[in-house]
Amino acid sequence: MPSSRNFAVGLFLIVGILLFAVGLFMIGDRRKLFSQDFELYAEFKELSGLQNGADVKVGGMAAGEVIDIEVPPQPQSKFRVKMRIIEKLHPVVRTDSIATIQTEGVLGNKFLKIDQGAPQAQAAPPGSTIPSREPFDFADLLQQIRDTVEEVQGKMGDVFASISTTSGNANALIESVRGDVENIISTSRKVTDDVQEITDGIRAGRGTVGRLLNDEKVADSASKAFSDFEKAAGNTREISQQFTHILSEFQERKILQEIEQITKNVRQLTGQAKDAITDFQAKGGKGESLTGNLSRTITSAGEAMSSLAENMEALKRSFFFRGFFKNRGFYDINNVTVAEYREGKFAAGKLRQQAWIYETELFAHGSDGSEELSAAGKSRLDAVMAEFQRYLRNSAIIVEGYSGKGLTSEQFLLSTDRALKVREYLVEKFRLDPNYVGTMPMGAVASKDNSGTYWEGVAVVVFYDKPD
Amino acid sequence: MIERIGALVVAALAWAGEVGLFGLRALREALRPPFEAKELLRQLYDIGSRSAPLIAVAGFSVGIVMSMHSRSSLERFGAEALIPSVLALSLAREIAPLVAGLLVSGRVGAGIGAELGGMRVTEQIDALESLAVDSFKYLVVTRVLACMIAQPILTTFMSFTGIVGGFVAETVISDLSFRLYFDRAFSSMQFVDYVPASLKTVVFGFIIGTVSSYLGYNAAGGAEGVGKASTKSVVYSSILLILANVVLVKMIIFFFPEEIG
Repeated sequence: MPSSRNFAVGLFLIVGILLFAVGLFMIGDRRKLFSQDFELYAEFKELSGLQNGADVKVGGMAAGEVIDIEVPPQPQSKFRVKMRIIEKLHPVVRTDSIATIQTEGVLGNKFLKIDQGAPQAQAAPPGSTIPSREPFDFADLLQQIRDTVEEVQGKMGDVFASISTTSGNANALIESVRGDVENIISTSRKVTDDVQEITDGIRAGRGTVGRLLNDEKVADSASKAFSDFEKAAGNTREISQQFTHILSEFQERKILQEIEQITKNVRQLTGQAKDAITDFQAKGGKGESLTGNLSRTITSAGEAMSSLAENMEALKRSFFFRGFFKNRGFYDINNVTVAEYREGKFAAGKLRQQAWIYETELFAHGSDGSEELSAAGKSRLDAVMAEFQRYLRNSAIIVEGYSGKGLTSEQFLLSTDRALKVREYLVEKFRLDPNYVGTMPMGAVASKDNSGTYWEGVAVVVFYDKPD
Repeated sequence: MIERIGALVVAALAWAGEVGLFGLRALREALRPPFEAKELLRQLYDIGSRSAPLIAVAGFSVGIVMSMHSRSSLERFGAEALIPSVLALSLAREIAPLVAGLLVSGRVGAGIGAELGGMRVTEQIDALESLAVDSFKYLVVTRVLACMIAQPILTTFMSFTGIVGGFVAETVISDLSFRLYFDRAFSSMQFVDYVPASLKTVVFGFIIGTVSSYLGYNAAGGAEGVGKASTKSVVYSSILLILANVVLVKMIIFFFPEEIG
């Protein structure tokens, strides 16, 4: 019997000790005492009954326990909770993981919940403090709801007051703008009518201007000018239509209806609306920017009108167009006959300055008898132009060619040739607008000394306006 | 009257002092050779191994009953998931140590009191003394030590059989796996719930061994004296065990206030 007794005693002892060890192991395992771990901190103003040994869960998985709670040294400080988390879960605990105190079920233990961090955040270093969120309290929530409702009630009054102020401002704005808008529209109409008249006149080919367009270069620039002009006219018309539309909208009070609709929406939005309206009314806010935009638009429109008026003025003063406005007998040089020129029909009413240059002063004779501008001739022309410099802006220059040699046709050719050579030199040297420089083959003109000889050479004539 | 109460108090204190000294002497003697290993083994068999079935059955039953009780209360709060944890905690902290202690005091205390009382009355102890055998060491020390060793082991048996009993009761109602049940049972437990509660049963064993041995060792008055010693062993050791439990629990809470609280 002793052996069976010994066996029973041995079994009793070993099984007992083993069971005790199993108990120890189970507790240790639950407490994560046998796995590698790291420590972290989280700070809370309110602990909600969290205790030492409370579970720590990372993403819902049991991850460790609270090992120490440091009491705050000052009222404004927080409780510092030290926790131990198994190393296996370290990769998901990031610097932006948030610790919160939670309850297991309704009556369960308090535990520390740690959210998994964002992938781009770094893993929380051991011993660091991770951000925390204060525990949720149902009583706090109710209080918060009550406070919010009271605040909303208070804000409603402010909101309605703000809305009526805003509506008043909008009305005042519309009233103040109406006068300007009407002025602009009437001006626009007037300008458009003028433009229409001009365009019609030109299209009808009335006066020299219409004919002027036959010249290719002139026609190109004129047609470009017209297209720009028409664009401007179109824009003006569009602007005037838009303003008519805006005005009619204002008059129909559609905008006010919209504001009323917005007002209704604002009522539903309460607190948000309050902020929005405060923002709207604030300096630099939407309200101001709306008013600012409208004023700017009106100013721009005014500016556009004034520049259009300026352009019209410039057009009136332009070499080609002023005749249209001033007198309709302003002739194109290319279509002026020598006879008409002599009669003074070209640029009638303008002052003229003339410089005579003799053939011998201007030209050198080539071996084949042709005439070329000599260096001395060029210097002479330069001197003449220097004298004419003060008349040059927007003034027409006519180079008259003279020659009394040979037959009439030869006289015409030679006088044309002389005038063209001088014109070419002047245009190139002084960068004159070719449209403003013309030639006139005068042919044989008797010299003033009654010697029976003819003028040989050129006369440079500048036509200019009387000074204002 | 007051004199009589005073005399009773004095007698009770004197008896407690005598038992205390008896126990201390047993502890002191335990550390001195010769160590009666064979006799200790025999006592361990009697006190430990042979009590194990009783403890196992009792623990299993207590587990079932407690599980059913916990379910009826926790169900109201929808906290059935806490049943394993509640059961394990109450078993480990208090029920297993106390119930095992009372059962052992009933079964072993009565046995030791009767056995030693019989030996005293039949002058077997005197015979041993005449053979130059240290009867105290041979009879008392081995029994006290055996009680002190067996008690924590029996308590552990009771805790585990209780948990198993709880699982059986639970599995009838819900399809909870043993693995999950066992995990949940230990989920809220800490070392401080388990280790001090197990170690305090060493004190229970010491009380049972000492009181019963004292009463049996000092029994007088023939068969009647043996009966009295046997009865008194159970009663006194049970009462002392319950009283000592109060003090011990208080001490544990004092030393580990946060964990237990």
